[in-house]
Amino acid sequence: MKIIGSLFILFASTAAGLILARRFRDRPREIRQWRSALQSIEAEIIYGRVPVDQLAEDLSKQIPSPLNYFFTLLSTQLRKKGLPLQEAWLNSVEQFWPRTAMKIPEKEIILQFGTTLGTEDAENQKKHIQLALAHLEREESDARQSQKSNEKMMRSLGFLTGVLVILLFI
Amino acid sequence: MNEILPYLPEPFQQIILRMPEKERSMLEEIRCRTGRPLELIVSGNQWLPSDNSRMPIFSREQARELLQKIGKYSLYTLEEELKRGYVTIQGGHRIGLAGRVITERGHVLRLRDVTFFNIRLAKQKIGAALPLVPFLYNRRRWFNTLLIGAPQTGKTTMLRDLARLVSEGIAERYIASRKTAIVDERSEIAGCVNGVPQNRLGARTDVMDACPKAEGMMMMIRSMSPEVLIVDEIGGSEDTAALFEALNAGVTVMATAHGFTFDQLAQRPSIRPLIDAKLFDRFVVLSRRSYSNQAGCRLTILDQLGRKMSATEGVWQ
Repeated sequence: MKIIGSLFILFASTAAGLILARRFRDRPREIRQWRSALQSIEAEIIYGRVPVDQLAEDLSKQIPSPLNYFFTLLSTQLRKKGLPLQEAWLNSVEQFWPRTAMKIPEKEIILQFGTTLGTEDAENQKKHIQLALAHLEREESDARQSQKSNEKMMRSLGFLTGVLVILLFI
Repeated sequence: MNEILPYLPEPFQQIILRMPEKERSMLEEIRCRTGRPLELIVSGNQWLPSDNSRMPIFSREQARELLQKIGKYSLYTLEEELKRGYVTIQGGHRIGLAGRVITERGHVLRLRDVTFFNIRLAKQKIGAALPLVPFLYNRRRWFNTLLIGAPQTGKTTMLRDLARLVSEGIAERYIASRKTAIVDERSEIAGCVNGVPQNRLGARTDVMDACPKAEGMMMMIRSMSPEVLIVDEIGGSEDTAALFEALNAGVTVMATAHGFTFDQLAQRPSIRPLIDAKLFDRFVVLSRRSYSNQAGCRLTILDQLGRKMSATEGVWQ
């Protein structure tokens, strides 16, 4: 009986540790996805002059999950509900963010970028994208660093907490 | 109408929806000026609500939003349009823009603060050019024709319908359809959106949209082998050279030109050689008339030498 109980505890705490570690692992990956998305937006704007609703639809098919969900949200808000871009962008970010491992600084960058999207000519649009890309790059290297220091720690911490609790109970 | 309403701010939509049916169908222009009340032009005159209620004021915020909506919230798609000063939208309607201009070395770079909008509702008058057909078609060919008129007399409307008649043909009169090419420098004849004509122009029409006329005419002749070539508002000296080329290539040309009368037009240095060389077989002079508050049009048809052949009048607005 005791052994089964302790196995449960060990399993649960290890799982919790893995989930926490996963957040540290996913964050840089997702930021990287955003960067490649912004790069394709840049190319579409500069060379194709593609309007944002079309862009959102294209990207929702091109990019891998989870980021494609954001562009699906954006495209439905623009096309079906007919919301103005800034509002649709804000709503989509708010709906999308709980599903990701990304943190407040990235959200701020993306929101800031949303307010400038579509309001200027291609040249200025490019500058805004470059700015957002630079910011995201910095966040990504931050995220990588904290991944390095925290991911392993979280994993072993989960396991070790389980062992500690079991020892205390026994 | 339904294409244009979603662009407008809410109070403006209300005003237009509450207009009497008859006046709404004759709406020509919707003018929005920042800080000024909405102006509606119905058959050439300003229209005011009958209950003397005030027109809503067009705010700076609404101006920004309108421009954003025109560009589908992607202003960078409008760069070329902001340089030319107008946008053609779905349905062939044209929105004229004015505001603060940014220049570079004396040339217009683009409009920055767009504060004045003039929404011109495109209304294709199917059959407007029918009264002209007996004068312009003879022995299985269309004549080279020049339509002359002051602004807002319906030259372009007439030309558009002629294009439709030429490319569709008229079965009742045993007029066969022809390959038609339109060089549409100002996107007014075909009203193209992304290269697809929004107006009914017949099945055998090719359109070169937003292309400078002189170059466009040559491109069309070389590449599309048209039987009838249609251009709007000729006037420059390059246009004249291109017209000579086209007319000598055996292509029938139908064109319009600004002017009040034939004599006045004949004085213009760029048009004169065309008339002297007798390249145009028919001239049609359009003038605006109003019949008991209804706008109409008077058509005078002149032959090769500018002699009057006939005149018809018609209410068509």
